[in-house]
Amino acid sequence: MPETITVTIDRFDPQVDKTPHPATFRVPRQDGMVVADVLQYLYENDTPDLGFLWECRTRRCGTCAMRVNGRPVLTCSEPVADEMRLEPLEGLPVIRDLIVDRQELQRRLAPWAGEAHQQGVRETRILLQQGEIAHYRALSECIDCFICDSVCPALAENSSSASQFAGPRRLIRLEAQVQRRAEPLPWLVYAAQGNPSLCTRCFACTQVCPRDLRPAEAIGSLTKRLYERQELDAHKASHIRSFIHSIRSGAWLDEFRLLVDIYGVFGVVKFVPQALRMLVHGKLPRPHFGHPAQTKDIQAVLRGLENTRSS
Amino acid sequence: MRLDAACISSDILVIGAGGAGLRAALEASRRGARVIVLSKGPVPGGATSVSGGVIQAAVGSGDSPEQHFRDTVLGGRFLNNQRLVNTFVRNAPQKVLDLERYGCAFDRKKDGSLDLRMPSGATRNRGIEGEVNSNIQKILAQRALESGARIHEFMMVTRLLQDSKGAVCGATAIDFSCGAFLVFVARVVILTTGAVGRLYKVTACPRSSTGDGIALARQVGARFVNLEMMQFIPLAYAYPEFIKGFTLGEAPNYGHHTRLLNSKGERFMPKYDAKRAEYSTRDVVARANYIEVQEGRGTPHGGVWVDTSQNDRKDGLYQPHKLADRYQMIVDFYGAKKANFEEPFEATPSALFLIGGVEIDPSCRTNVPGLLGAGEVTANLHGANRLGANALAEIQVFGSIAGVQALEEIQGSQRQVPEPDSLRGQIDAEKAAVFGLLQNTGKKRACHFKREIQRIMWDGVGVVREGKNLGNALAELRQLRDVIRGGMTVAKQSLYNYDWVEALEVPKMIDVAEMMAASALSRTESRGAHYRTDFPKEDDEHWLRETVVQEIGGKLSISSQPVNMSVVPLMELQAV
Repeated sequence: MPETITVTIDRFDPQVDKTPHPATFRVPRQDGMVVADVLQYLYENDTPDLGFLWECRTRRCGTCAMRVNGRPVLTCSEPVADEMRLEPLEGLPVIRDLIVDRQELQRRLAPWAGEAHQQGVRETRILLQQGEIAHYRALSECIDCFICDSVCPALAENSSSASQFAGPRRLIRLEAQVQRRAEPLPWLVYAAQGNPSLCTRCFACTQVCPRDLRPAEAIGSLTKRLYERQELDAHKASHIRSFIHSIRSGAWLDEFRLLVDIYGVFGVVKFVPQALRMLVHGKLPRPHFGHPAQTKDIQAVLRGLENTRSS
Repeated sequence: MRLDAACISSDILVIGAGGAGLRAALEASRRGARVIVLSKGPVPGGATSVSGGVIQAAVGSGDSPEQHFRDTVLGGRFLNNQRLVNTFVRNAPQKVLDLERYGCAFDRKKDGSLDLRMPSGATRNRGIEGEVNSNIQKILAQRALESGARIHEFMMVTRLLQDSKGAVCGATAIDFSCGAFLVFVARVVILTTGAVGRLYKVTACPRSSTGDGIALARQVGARFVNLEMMQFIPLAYAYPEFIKGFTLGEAPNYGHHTRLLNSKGERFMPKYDAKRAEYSTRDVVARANYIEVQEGRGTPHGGVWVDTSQNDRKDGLYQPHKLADRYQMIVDFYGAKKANFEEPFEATPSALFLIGGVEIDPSCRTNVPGLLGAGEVTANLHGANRLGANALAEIQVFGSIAGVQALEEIQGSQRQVPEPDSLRGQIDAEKAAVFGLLQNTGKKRACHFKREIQRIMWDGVGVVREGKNLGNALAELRQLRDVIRGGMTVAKQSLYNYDWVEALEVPKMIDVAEMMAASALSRTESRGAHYRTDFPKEDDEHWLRETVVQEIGGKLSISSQPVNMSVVPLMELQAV
């Protein structure tokens, strides 16, 4: 094991720099060192103006999140590598060096506070039963590290469009509120404004969560609640209805029918130019006739599965 | 207004956003007060965010506030202020269970009753558990925000402001997320700045816990009680450097058969406490661990070995299903074998909790008008030794009392928000001092002075004390203060400049450390957390007294006063 660690840090000071510039340092290695050790060493011995945050040291404050060799992690518990590149979290405004905009406390923690629809909400909460407690905790223990938001493609895609996506971090918080409040409607309305149905269900958020929470599942649950309470707009609701119907009737998703169900037979016409463009670029799958279970490839998979089961 | 600084006004200014500060803010704002909370670190942050998951309140069957009282005062070696303890034990059940209404989820059994455990030093199942404490802090912050309180992070409060009659009426602060100097004026100020662990080389406390509140209160003439009572936790991470000192708890957390071994493989605890050995009180075990290391029988990373191999894996608290994140930390830093009790692991004693602090009455009033206090920054609920899980209940009880009391102070008095112009002298002087630091007049950086303070405190005012060493520590601290008056090297940067924050912290740390050392020197006995080799025995005849420190006319005045024993007489307690 080399005696020193080579670390490259993206330095950026908005008052001086136009773009980040990498700077490389060498730091002596110690037993069991974590990435935050390296940063603190540099701050104390080399670079007094290195911008990075930490507070609790124990995965509870969420402030020390950044990318280490491309992976978003909490630096307080991330073991060091011989060579490391440290960058701020992706997709968030950079304040300075490795510090990103974690938003004002109110916007981050209770964005609904002071909203009109919150007026007159009583503070009664449901006392949870034994079985529900663990589930609630899995939602409520989010530490606002912003790691999930930083990897969310739906958030990156929809941040500037008219239909804004609230992102996994805010939605898991809202799902916790909905579950706990005796009158959950204001929080559901608030969640609906965050467009949970824009989630692409890629599960990247659940994969990276440093506390093993499941934001993707929480978003799914919120969407379901909204569907059941008919709080979704007509397009989204018919999308879900068609989806369910399609799966129920044939155990597969008939995408053409999905389109027809949502937009109607005549509504589909407006997609023709897009379909043609996709066809030209080779992005359209070959038309397929018959039930997918009849195709050779899928039958091979099913046979394989059967063999594994019997052995 | 012609002031050269942004001035923000409110009814109540809360300094510190841990459990006590947020609870105070919540109670006051939901009753209609305009409340501003300033937090030096992020929220969650501070000692609340890293504390264990257990809260003590007499809610179980077969338990009573009276029993809780007895446990607390016996654990505190009779040194507790009994009026405070009485208020505490009677209010704890309600104030702690309020948290469930606010959104916390404590462990409950199938029949719906609370699933309680027995914290160390308690005689009944009284520990409510299940919520990670950073989560309690977050939920309190959410509720406070919902009721209209405003909470600002990254605010380093530099001094308290006083009106012409000496009443505290605001504070100056640096918003170090952007480098702005701000003035906060209010009708009442609540001090809830919490812990001082960062005064020590090895500590369980997070970055923010440098004891600012005690230094702020010192400047306005507050009285301090029992500042020598610094509690050390016996077991903490010995490495890696970054989390060194973070708590690993005590022997019972791992089950009934934990053994502590020194580098020679000897089980040493029976030597220090023949009867209870590893299961002795926190102060005794911490001291034993410290002495073993001092006398050269320490492990490679300067600790002792914790042998958990004889424990039942389903028994302890540090198990995957119990404290999931704590368990995972052991896996990450020490490896799965150590976490699963297959190998011994290293642990060091670590600075945990300051029992002494600003003197308050049961309504959270200090001796300074306009200034209330709650939580760890105050004294003296816990006596000479704090029981596990009592502090988390303390912040709920006294935080809540402080919030309500602040409202009463406003309604009962004619006190108005002061005209900022009337405070101009104080504000201008402070602003000049704060920005003067950036002039780079010294040779050393604040973080290096900080290390120096931490070393002095660990060696001189640490687990084991002695008159001579305390005197030396005091002299060294005063010398350091003179050096710092000559200036420091400070980075020029306005966005999150921690070099600057630390330069503001260091003089305050010396103010606090000096008072702690002086108090420790004045208590010529050993009791609980305070252990002196030159006075190794408890001295009930002379020292059932609180040490008192106060700055009067620029000088420290050190005295003592009898402990309040108005509830249960000593005779009766000793008979238990």
